[in-house]
Amino acid sequence: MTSLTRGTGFRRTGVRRTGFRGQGGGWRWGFPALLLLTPFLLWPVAAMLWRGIAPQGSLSASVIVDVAGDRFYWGRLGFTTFQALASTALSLAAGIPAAYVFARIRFPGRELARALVTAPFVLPALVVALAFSQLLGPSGWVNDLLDAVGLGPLQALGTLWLILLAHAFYNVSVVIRLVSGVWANLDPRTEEAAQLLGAGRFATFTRVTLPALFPAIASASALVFTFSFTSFGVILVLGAGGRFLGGPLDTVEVSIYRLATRLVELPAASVLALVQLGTTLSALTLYSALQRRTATAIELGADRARPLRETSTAERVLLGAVALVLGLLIIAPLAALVVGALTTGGGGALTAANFARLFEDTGRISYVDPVQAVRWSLTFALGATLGAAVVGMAAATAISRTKGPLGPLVDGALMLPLAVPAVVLGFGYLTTFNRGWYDLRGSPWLMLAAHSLIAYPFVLRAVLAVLRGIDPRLPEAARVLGATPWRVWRFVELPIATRALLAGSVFAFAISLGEFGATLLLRRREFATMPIAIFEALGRPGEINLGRALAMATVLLVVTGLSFLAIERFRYGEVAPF
Amino acid sequence: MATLTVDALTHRYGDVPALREASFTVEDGRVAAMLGPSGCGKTTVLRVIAGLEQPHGGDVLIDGHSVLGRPPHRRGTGLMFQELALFPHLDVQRNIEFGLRMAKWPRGEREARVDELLSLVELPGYGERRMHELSGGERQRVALARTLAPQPSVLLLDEPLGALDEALKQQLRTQLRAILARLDTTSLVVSHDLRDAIALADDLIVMGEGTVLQAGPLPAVLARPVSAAVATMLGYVVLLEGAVEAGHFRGSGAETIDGRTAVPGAEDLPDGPAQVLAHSSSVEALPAGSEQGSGITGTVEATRPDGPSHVVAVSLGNGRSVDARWRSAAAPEPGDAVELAVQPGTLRLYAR
Repeated sequence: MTSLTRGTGFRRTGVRRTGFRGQGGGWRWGFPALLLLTPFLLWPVAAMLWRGIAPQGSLSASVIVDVAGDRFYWGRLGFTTFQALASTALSLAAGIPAAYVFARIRFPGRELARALVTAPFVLPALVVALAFSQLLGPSGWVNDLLDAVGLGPLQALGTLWLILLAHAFYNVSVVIRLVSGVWANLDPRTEEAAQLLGAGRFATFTRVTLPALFPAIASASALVFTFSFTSFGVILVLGAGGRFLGGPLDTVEVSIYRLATRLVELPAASVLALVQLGTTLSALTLYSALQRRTATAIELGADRARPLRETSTAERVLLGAVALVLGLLIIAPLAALVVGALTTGGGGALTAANFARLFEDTGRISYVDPVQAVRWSLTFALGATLGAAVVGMAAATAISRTKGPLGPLVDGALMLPLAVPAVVLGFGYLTTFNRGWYDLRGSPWLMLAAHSLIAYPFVLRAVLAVLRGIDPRLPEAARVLGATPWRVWRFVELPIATRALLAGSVFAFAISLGEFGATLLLRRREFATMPIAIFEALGRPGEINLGRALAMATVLLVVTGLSFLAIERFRYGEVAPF
Repeated sequence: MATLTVDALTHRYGDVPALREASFTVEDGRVAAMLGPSGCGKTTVLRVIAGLEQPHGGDVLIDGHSVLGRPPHRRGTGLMFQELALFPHLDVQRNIEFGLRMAKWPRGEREARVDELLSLVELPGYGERRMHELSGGERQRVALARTLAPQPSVLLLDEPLGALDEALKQQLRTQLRAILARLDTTSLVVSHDLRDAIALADDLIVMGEGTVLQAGPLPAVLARPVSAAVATMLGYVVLLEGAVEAGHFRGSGAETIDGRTAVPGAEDLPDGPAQVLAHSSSVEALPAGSEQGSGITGTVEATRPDGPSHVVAVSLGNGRSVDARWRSAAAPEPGDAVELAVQPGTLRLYAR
């Protein structure tokens, strides 16, 4: 749709155009984001970090020295890094062959399969954790099967393996999206040229294809590493009670949560948060630098780039293998979750008993009214979506209108929420909004601010991709036809970006629905969300509570799944929020 | 209606100069064509006039008033982009009425104006088409209609016949000429193709390396280019190299002008190296020794048929070669000696 030709004179001299697009007062569009960022991100995070480096109100390295001298924390950092690297490797191993399948092979149901492998990314962490423990737990399907053939039992619960599988479940979709988009756009003629020049299939792959894919693979790795490094809900549920190399299966993020809930250890939690932030910032900086390198390769409408060839036998085998692996990785745990929710203990018959139990024993300590939980989840998600849409759209406009050396800086500043892990954010709120008129700890508005903040980068990224793709001459044409800068936005940029805005908003909706880290720290019985209801039920022993957790997780899965179907409706080409 | 004056315009992209003190005037209601090689700053002139670039020096005046202080949406200029820049999210109707909406025309008048423009560009009934449903020529005409809709006081067209095939270009050129003639709006048409300029314009502005080399009424500029560089852009070819000595031109090679064809203007030039150019359409090749020749002789390199006659590439020695028309029925063979004839009065002499 957009013209790819450029003004001849400018292309020839290789000089960037100056002038008009910078005149739109881009910085003003950053205002809504600043209104949200300053009180609800910069202040709490800065105050929390200050607590770590100045425990008594003046700068002191005492806490840092304490933490640095404690082998326990080094163990956590080591475990966190190790599991993040292993998760990345596993996600790449499963994702790269799948990326090839989606980029190069034509098969029936391709679009449906593409939607299906993308869905896991928006699923709530607790749902995924529960799904894997249902599949591989002591009474899960896999152990039933092993039992039937006289093997097992398999001890997966509380091991690193289960955590890695859950992370791969999430992140395989990130790898597929980022890599298959670039792969589908690689000019097949370069590969053909290499073969004509005497390169065999293997040499063509290693010398032509792989180098072209490298930035995409590397940026996907950086993103997967960040997500796995800051993983919280999955670890909290699946790592419970487990040991690895003599320590608990706690990541830095989980450690921060544990320290933060034991109020005396706040300074130590702050130092860990500092470590956490340093890591995410570095990884995300690397990600965006690499993304800029792949950006040139990606054009909208990836699949139209070339006709897909006849499928070879080797490719059919690969297709089958990928379908089997992804089916086992993605569909089996979700199916185990839903079947678990619809059956009880001994019997195999389908029943709604677990759902009915959600409404029983209203006096129990873990009781959360399921209807209220759904209501609050939807309320926060709708509010956060609205906030994220407004802030994300404005922020994307600000970035697209800021040219020159300031551009990456504004981009980085507005993407900060992605670098602040949810638990760190919630912890920052607890230590900041705790006195005087700004004691907001019991206020649902604080929760709403956290959710909006966590969700808006997804709107921003989806919209920015489209805004950057708009031919710069379109706003110029509108200006010459008499449009003010505001009306250029209103009548040209906004309408063109509408679909991306809707897609990003639904994404934000799903993210808010499943948000667990910040929500857990800010939770109140009065406005408990679905993930909190699941967590509360899981925290109690017994078959009945597990049934309740499964039932609630299924409800959450269905609501998220429905919103995901909406994303697929709005999505086009490879425009996705990451 | 308005007079457009561009005064000593200077602009740079980074360190690369795009315009160097370019000046010209387009009188009220005239159509001026701006001709020049790509990269010479033509598009920059249009962008500065429209307000999309702020120049580093100089001024743009409409009816004697500087418009540099006005943002693009308040200049009243209409710019048709070379790349068209049609809005992909709007249909034809809404593309054309965009400027009218911005100017807050009432709906009824907007619709009447769009209908009027659609029939002007000969696309009646196209209102609901989307951009991807249009052919290249149709898009070009929609872009023109969109530019014309708000009745700009100055019309700026950047390569309006740019990316079209030859037949379509011919057809659209004729249409555009009729439209511009009917509008009576001060217009500046940028092109790198002399044929566009000749077909469309009253005045001609020749640009090179960021500055105006010559400007004036089209016939005058075509007949009397001020320099060899301008002449070359206007279709002249170099016939002779040599020098002016005491008011006479003397060719440097074997070829000379033996007195039968005088070189006008030699008496006005100071002594020094000079060259003689002639318009390519006025150069004819005759069998050697012909009585009507100019005395300039050469060898046939190649011939190719062109309509009923032939075009002959003639080597003039010292590496120079010109195309000349051959009107006799039988074409000469490569290697044949020929003599050139030039229409009297079309030789132009320039100091080098």
